[in-house]
Amino acid sequence: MGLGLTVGLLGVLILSHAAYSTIQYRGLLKITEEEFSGPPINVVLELILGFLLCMYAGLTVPGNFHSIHPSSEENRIVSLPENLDFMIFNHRGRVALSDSDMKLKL
Amino acid sequence: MVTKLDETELKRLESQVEHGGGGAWEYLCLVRKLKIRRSDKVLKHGLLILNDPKKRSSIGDEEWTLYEQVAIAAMDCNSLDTARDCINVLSKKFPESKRVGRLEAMLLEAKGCWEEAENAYSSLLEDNPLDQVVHKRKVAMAKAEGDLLKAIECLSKYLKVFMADNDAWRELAEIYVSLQMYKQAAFCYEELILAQPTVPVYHLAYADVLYTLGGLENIQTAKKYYAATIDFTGGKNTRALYGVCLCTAAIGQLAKGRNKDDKEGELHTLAAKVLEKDYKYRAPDKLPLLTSTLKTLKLSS
Amino acid sequence: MAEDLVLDTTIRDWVLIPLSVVMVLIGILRYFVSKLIRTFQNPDGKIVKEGQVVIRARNLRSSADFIPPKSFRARRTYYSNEENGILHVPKGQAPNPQAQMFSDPNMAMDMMKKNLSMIIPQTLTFAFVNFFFSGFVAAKIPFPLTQRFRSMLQNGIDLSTVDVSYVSSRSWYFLNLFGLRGLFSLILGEENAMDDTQRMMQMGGFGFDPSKSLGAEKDSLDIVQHDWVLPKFEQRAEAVLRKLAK
Repeated sequence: MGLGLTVGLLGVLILSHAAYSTIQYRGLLKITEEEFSGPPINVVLELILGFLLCMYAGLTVPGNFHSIHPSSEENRIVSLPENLDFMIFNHRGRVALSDSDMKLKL
Repeated sequence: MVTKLDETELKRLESQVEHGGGGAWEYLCLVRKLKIRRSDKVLKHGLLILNDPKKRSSIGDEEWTLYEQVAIAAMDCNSLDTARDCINVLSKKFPESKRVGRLEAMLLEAKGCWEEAENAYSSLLEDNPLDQVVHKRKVAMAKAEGDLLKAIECLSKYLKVFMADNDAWRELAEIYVSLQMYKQAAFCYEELILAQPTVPVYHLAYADVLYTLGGLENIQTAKKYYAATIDFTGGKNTRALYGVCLCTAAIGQLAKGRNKDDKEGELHTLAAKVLEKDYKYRAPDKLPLLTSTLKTLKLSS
Repeated sequence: MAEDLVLDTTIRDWVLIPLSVVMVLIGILRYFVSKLIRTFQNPDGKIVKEGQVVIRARNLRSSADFIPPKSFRARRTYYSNEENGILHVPKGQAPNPQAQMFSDPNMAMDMMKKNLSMIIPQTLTFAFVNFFFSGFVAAKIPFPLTQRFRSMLQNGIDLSTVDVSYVSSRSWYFLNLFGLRGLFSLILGEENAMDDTQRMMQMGGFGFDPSKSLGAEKDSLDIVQHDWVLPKFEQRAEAVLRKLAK
């Protein structure tokens, strides 16, 4: 968790730095009166790095992936819920369970 | 649907609660969510929470839900006084509530006063003729009285209107099975499979019913549904594995005289192998029993 | 660019804030009034049944391949045969919701209550706002907008030279009317999530006709091609088991 979060923060920092550099670069271009065709190559690399770091953090921090297969260990249905709407009370528990001495205090 | 994950979570919480490790409220919530019948434990731990003012206030508005849960559990455990007390608290808080009225009627049911319970349910139905829970309780009451045919009749009437109610279909199927009316039960299970085609338990039950019905065609179909169960459970369902073996044996016997154009899959040998492996791992002392059974089915290699 | 208008602070104190407070209070009042006159209406048994039939038929259509062909054919006949299939609606018997509404006084009463809680307060508030607060430039939004927003933001002011980011008092009323929903759901709890805009839409889509959905369901059920998938499961199960047996 801590690792993922730090990586994510780092990614965001790198991305914002890339944005800042691009803005500065554009300012520079304005002074030299050249056309802006794209950010310089080191900024592009920085962007990709930041993107990867953010991606890593986004995929690890919120939680683990769960399987979507119905037969996987966590999704495997082992039993049905008891049909409680149709539960009946005169069963053998009436004999087996003695009246418990716990009472609701009012 | 109770998945494997839920089951392990429930077991963990249950042992934790039983050994006084706390988490009783979470346990009760999980039981309620999964709709599992653990009435004795719900009664015990629910009362512990309800009798402790500090714990009770910490769950806030859920308190009333807990009263209801404990009341039903108490009826199930035959501690009718406790149920009475819970219902009294609820009816003081929510006078004229239908939900409390249902609980009152259920208490009558638990006492065995069928006539009065019947009257109570009828008056509830007059207020709202479409109250599903009350209709279901009436079916359950017929069942409790031992009048299964009446229960079937009520249930069919109910299903004529609420025909998308899976629980009711399931109940009907189970009643039919208990009366050995397998054709009707098969219909109900088909309905359940249609509604939830990825639940292996329905496939399994349908296959069981078909196998019991007998006849070559039915058993062939049953084998396919056992196979579907195996697929949906990842081969972890022992009953389905046995089912495949039994079906293959029965098909072999029934189709003996006829031409053997049926391609012999190796599903059953694989199933037998997996069974053996599973037994070796989980119950080694029962392994000889299994091998002898498989031998009589002429499946073991 | 035109000179910035300077708005009097008394406009803020006597128009902007009172108007917003009035809108919130009226919203709350309306919520409680409609809660008072609302009746719990039991759904009609026939409509419930038709809804359930549609659900069940939809289930059949979507997972038909999971049941044997014989069972499927029997079910399809049950649903959609021409004589007494449960999805089959005889011609001419489809109830006209309009006629139904007039024949059932309860329904008309319900509609009236809905109108009472919606239209009357709305007109009253509008008249109230018009009377007390008309003709002010009440606020300025902090970003520029294009001319198209003029009719939305400067309702009641006929000056084309004023910058579009200024909001007239009547427009402020409208903005409040449609924008206070989030606040109401905070104050009154989630159940009040329905605002006027939604209610208007509901009025439009009033004539829901269950027989139509039955017919549509029947048509799509008629063209379902049944292809039993279970034989495939034998191979799939074999694959699963082979992996396990290793």
